[in-house]
Amino acid sequence: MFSSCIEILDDIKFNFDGSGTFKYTVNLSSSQVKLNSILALDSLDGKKVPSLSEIQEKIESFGIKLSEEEGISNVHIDTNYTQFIFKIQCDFTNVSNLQRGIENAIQSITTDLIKENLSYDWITYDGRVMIRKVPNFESWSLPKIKTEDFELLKKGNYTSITRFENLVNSFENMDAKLSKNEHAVMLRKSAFKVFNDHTAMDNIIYVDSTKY
Amino acid sequence: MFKLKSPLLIFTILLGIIGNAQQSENIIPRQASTVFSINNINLLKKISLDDLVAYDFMEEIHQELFDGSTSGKTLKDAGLDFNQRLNIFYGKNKHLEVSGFSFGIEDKIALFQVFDDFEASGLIANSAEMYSSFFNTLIIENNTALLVRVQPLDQFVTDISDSIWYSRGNENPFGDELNLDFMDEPDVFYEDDMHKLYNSDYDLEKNYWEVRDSILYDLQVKYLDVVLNDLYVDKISLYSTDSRFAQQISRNSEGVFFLDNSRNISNEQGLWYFQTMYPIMNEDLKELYKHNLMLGDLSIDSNEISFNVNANYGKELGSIYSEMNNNKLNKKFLKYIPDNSPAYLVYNIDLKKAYDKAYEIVVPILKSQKNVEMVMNILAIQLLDQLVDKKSFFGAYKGGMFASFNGVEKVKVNQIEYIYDEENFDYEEVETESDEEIPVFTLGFASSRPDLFEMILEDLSRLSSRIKRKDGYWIVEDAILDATPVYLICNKNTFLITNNRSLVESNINGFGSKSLSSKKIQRIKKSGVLYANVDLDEALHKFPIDFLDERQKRVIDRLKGKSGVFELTSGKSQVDFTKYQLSYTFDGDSSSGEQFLDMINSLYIFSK
Repeated sequence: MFSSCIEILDDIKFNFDGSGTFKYTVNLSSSQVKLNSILALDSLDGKKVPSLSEIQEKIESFGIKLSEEEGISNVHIDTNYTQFIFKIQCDFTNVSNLQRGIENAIQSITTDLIKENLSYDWITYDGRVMIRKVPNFESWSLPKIKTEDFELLKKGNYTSITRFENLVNSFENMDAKLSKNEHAVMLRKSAFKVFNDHTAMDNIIYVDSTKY
Repeated sequence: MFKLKSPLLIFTILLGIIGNAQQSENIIPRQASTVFSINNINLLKKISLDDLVAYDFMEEIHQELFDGSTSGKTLKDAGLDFNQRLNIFYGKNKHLEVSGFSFGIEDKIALFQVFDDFEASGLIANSAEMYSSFFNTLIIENNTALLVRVQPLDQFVTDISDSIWYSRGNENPFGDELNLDFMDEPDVFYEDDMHKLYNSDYDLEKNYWEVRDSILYDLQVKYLDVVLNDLYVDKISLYSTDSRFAQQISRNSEGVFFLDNSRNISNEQGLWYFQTMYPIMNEDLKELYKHNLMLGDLSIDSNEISFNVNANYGKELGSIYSEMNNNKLNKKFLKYIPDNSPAYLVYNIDLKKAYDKAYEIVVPILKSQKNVEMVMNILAIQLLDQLVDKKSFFGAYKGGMFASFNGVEKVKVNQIEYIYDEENFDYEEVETESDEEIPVFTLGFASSRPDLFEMILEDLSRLSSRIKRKDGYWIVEDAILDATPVYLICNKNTFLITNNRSLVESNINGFGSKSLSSKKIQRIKKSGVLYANVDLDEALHKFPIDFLDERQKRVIDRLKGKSGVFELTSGKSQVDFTKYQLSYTFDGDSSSGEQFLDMINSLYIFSK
C-alpha cells in the first residue's frame, strides 16, 4: 500500500596525492510516510523502535567520532528529519584512513558489528589504479532483510561516483559509465542487487597518472 | 428372577461407572477464573485433526505442552483422546497463579513418547500418577490428564522473604553501597556482590537471594499440593464448586468460555493501594462486582459462526448499566457513515444517566467510611456535584460515539530525486511528488456544545500555524504522519474528527442518500449499546498491512480470499445481564469448521 524506496549515493573524489573528499547520502524521502508511521510505534516485529532523538544522538555521535579519527577533517553531517535525508561529508588524507575512520565511528555507535572484522580495505588507490572490492558480508551478524522489503529494495538505487583529478583510462565493471569530461565513473545498481550480490559494486579503475 | 436381575444390575452399574467416569472438565482447579473449552467432538466433525494441528494457535499449545523438545510431533501423535474436551484455564488469587490444560488420553504410551521431559514423581490418592518436568506437572488419572503450572505470586514471595530477612537483623539488600544494576541481578550479583550480603566472611546464613529461592520453592511445592489435593483427594474442582461453570461447560456448542470477573477484579494488582488503605470500602465495593461473570458460546452453522456472550453482573451495577446503555440511537451519527463503508462501529451510551445512577449507588457506600481522607474526598465529590453544571459538562461529551473506516485515499507526498550532469556527474536535488495511499477514517462524538470545541481550537490556532479555520470546519495540517491533514467539524450535535477530504468538501452535513441504508440502520437500532460491522473482503483489501509481521500478513492474505461480514451486536441491558453476539456470516465453498478456525487463528495471531 505504501510505495517506498531507498536511494543511496556514495561519492568519492581523489586528488593527485591520494587525499580526497568523501560524501555519503541516504535518501529516504519517498518512504517518509512509512517511516513516520513506524516512528509513531513503540515497537515493530518485536523490536523497539528508536525515537527521533535517539537517532539524532547516534548520528551526532558518529560525526564527532569520525572527526576525531586520524587523517579525517572537515566532517559535515546534514540531516533532514522531515524528508529523512542524511548526508555525511569529510576530507581524508588517504583512503585507508577514511575506511579506518568510518569503521571506528560505526563501531562506536553500534554493537551489532562489534564481532566482525571490519579492518578490510574496500577501496585502495595508489595513484594509478583504484580497486573497489566489497567484502562478502553475508556471514556478518547483520539483521536479515525480510521478504516484504525486497520489493522496497528493488525500487531503490545505489549509486557510486568515483572522481579523479587524473583522466580515467579504463575500468572493468561493464555496467559503469564514464563522464564526458573523463574524470568520473558512475556505477548504479538497484539496492536489491547490491544487498544480494556483494560483487555488484566491485570495480577497478585505471587512471592516467601523466595526464590531467 | 434373580438371574435376570443380575445382568441388569451389572449393566446398570457399568452404565453408572461409564457415565460418571471423570472427564477432562472435572479436573480444572477451582482457582481458575478463566476457562476456554473446545468441544472436540463437535469441532472435529467439521474439521480434520490434520488441519486443526496446522494452525498457529495449536502450535503454541504444542509448545506449551511439549516445551519445545518434541518438534515435529503433533497432538495427534500425543495419544490425546479427542472425544473429550480440551480445556485451557488460568487463574490468580492473592498468593498464586495457576495455568494449564486438561484433556483426555487415549494412548498413554504415545503420550510419553511426546512428553519425554516428564519423570514419574509419585501417586496422589493411590490412583493419580504424577509426573514432573522443570516447570510443569502432569497428572494422569484413568483417561484424563492435567498439565498444570502453579506459581506463587512474585510480590507475595518478596513480602515473605523481606519479612524473614529483616527479622534476622539484616540491612536492606539493595542498599546504596551495593550499586547493583537491577536488570543484571542475580547473575551479576552472584559474581560481584554476593559477599556484601553476608554479615561477616564466616557468616553461614543464607544470603537474600538464597532465602528468596528457598521460600519460592517451598511455596511452589505447598501450593501445588493444595491444588492437586483439592482435585484428586477431596474431588474439589471448579466444576464441583461453581454451578455456573458446570452449567456452561455442559453446553453442546463447539466451544465455551467462562470468565469470572468478580475474582479477577479482587485480584487486580493495580487496586492494591486501595485495597490496603481502605479495606472496608474495598469489601463494600467488591459486593458491586460479586456477580460479574462472562459466559460465552462458540457455535458453527452452515454459513455462520457466532460467539454469544452473556455479561452478567449484580443488580446495583446492572442499574447503572441499564441507565447508561438503554438509550435511543443517536441518529445524528448515521448520516456521517457512508453506505459503502467497509467497517463501522456505533457506541450509544449516556454518561449523564450513568453518572446520576452511579452517584446514587456508590456515594452511600463511600459515605459509610469514617476515614478522614475518605470523608474529605466524599465531601469534595458532593460539593462538585452540587456546584458543577452537570448539564453543560455532560453536554460537551455525552458518551456516545461512532467510528468508520472508509477505504483509502491517495495523497501527494514531496520527495527528493537527483539529476546528474552527464559532463562530470555532478548532481542536484529536485523536489518531485509521488502518491501515497492513506487509510481514511472518521470519528464522531455526541456533543451539544460545539462552542466549547470552537473556543479550544481558536486558542490553539494562535499557538500553531498548522491549525486553521476553514468554511465550516477546522484543518490541522500534516497531522497524520506529517503527510496528511485532519479535519475537525464542530456540528450542533456531533463533534467529528476525520481525514476524509470528501466529507469536508462535499458532505459536511452528511452523506444524505449515500449514507447507511435503512436496512443497515434497522440493524443498528435493534442492537443495544454497541454495534459494529466489518465487510471482511472490502476492509482487508484496503487495510494497511505494511506494519504487520510476516505471519500476520499471511493471515490477511488467507482471509482476503474469504467473503463475509463480521457483525457485533448487543442486547438491551437487563438488570443483571447484557447479551453480546459476534457473528461471522460467510459465502464461499470452504467448510464452516475451516472458517471458524481461520477466525480463531486470525484473532490469536493479532492478539499476540
